[in-house]
Amino acid sequence: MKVTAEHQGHVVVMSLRGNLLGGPDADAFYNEVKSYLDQGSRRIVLNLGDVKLMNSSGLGILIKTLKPVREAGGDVHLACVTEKIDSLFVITKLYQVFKSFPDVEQAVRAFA
Amino acid sequence: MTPSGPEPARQAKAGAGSGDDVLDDLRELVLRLEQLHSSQPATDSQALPAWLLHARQAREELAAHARRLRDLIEPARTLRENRLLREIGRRLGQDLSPESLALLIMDTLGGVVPFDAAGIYFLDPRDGTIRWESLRGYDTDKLHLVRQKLDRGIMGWILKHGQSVIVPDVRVDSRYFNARDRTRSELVTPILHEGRMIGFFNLESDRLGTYGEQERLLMEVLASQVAQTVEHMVLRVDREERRRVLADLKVARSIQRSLLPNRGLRLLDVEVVGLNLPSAEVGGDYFDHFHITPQDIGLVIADVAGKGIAASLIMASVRTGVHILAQHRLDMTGIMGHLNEHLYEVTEADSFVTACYGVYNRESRRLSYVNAGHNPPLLMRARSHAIESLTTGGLLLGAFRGAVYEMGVVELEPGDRLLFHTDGLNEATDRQGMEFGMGRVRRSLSESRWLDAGALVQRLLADLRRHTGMGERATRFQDDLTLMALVCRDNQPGDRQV
Repeated sequence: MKVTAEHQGHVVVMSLRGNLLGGPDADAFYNEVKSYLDQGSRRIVLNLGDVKLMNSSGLGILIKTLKPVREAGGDVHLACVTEKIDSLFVITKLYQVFKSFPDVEQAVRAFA
Repeated sequence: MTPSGPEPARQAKAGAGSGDDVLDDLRELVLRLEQLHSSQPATDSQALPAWLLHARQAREELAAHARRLRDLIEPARTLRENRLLREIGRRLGQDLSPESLALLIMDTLGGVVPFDAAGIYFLDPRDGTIRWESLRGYDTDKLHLVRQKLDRGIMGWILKHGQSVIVPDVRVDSRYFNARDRTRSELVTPILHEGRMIGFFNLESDRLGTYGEQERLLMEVLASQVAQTVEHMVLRVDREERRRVLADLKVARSIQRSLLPNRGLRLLDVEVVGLNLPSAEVGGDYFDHFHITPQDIGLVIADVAGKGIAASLIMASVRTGVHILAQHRLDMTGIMGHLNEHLYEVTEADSFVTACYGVYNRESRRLSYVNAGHNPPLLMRARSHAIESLTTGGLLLGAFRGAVYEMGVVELEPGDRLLFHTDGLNEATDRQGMEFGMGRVRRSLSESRWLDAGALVQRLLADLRRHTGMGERATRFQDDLTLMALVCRDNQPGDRQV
């Protein structure tokens, strides 16, 4: 999995590409989010448009990511969730805790 | 050669002690002559007394002999050290435990290179961390600092670079991490096997400049001598550990089997049959059916995120929780709330459980259920052939505090079939990566309208085997697989097994 990140104002937009299946990739992603938190960024958009596969470990890492961001008074917005991943969020009812937006722009704007 | 040259001195000393002693005496003699010479005024050599000219000549010849003697002594020293190394090699030929091997090497080390404190470390090939160690000469209350040297000190540097390091004065080397105040010089040498670092030595001395190129070479020879044995020991220990773990896993599997129903529930009015096939010895899936009262049957399916031992332990925790809470007749949403809080406490931040808990009342043929983020059970109606998804409930368990759950209720009629499953069914892929998918699950279910619960489960398993190409007798798939089917029959409630 590859992660690219850019700042849009006070929001960090992280674009994930490939498979989110746990393991070292997921740990690296989590640590990157933590480093943004340490730098004071508390508004994070995760662009999942190019995530092909996600399993329960991948889901677990998103849950793990949300916790410290929320505790720091911030939030994680999801953007461009594909149909396959959307069904995972629907089944697990994780949309009760994650806000999801059709595109990055709306996900960023929702922080305003 | 003049009569006053070094010959008599050499003869006199030969055989009196080692070559090192002779060399030391010669050096001292040369030094005294140097002092005598330098105390004389520097004048034209013609004006010098004859004895001083002789002394000068003797000094030069002595120095030349000293050089020749060093050339003779060095191979002898190397020979002695080689004998020592061969001795180590001989003793290392036995199958030793990591602790005994480290101790043996440490015992031998003092005879090779001087040290005031030393450590030998064997690395774990899986993650490069220290797996075993043996230390000498450190204060017991500072052993935690020795550990920190691995991250921050010269030992940390060698872990990254895999090359020997000589530090003549640790006080002026920024890489040195102080775990011992008296240390003045240090030598760290990697133990390499086929170019891979499998361990290292760390020697510390209270004197400045104790270690030079010769000590480095010697330690590298020693390291190469022990490398094969260390590698052999690591492989042997790994083999033994694997054997032990496999034996433990077999026991764990048998315990886990005992936590699942050992047979289906077949009553006149309702039957429930389940199947659990872990993808490894133990798994994180769980299904259960049990009488809460003679009329109420508890039904559970759960999937712990992840696989293996950790998942199986959480699965056991879920089972205990469900049974205790169900017996206390807690309402179903309360049961899920309690389970959520309990799992939140006992699991890691990225761990969670999806579960569906239901209670089937035989009198009313009513199924009450709470679906906590689990793949919705499918209810196929006998009359309409429609398939309903049972989604009412709430968030998956163990990830967030304070989740609130709702209860769903469905009335069943004779012939209705209910299928609980984990994602090991719909997410199983064929060789091209195509998932079995919910479409095929529904189709299999639709085509099983006349089958009893046991046959329905077997039909789904057969369809899955066909799709995945795993073979007609396959009992392991990519993921843990759990199925549980309930069939509502046309009879009045009775408690008799059929």
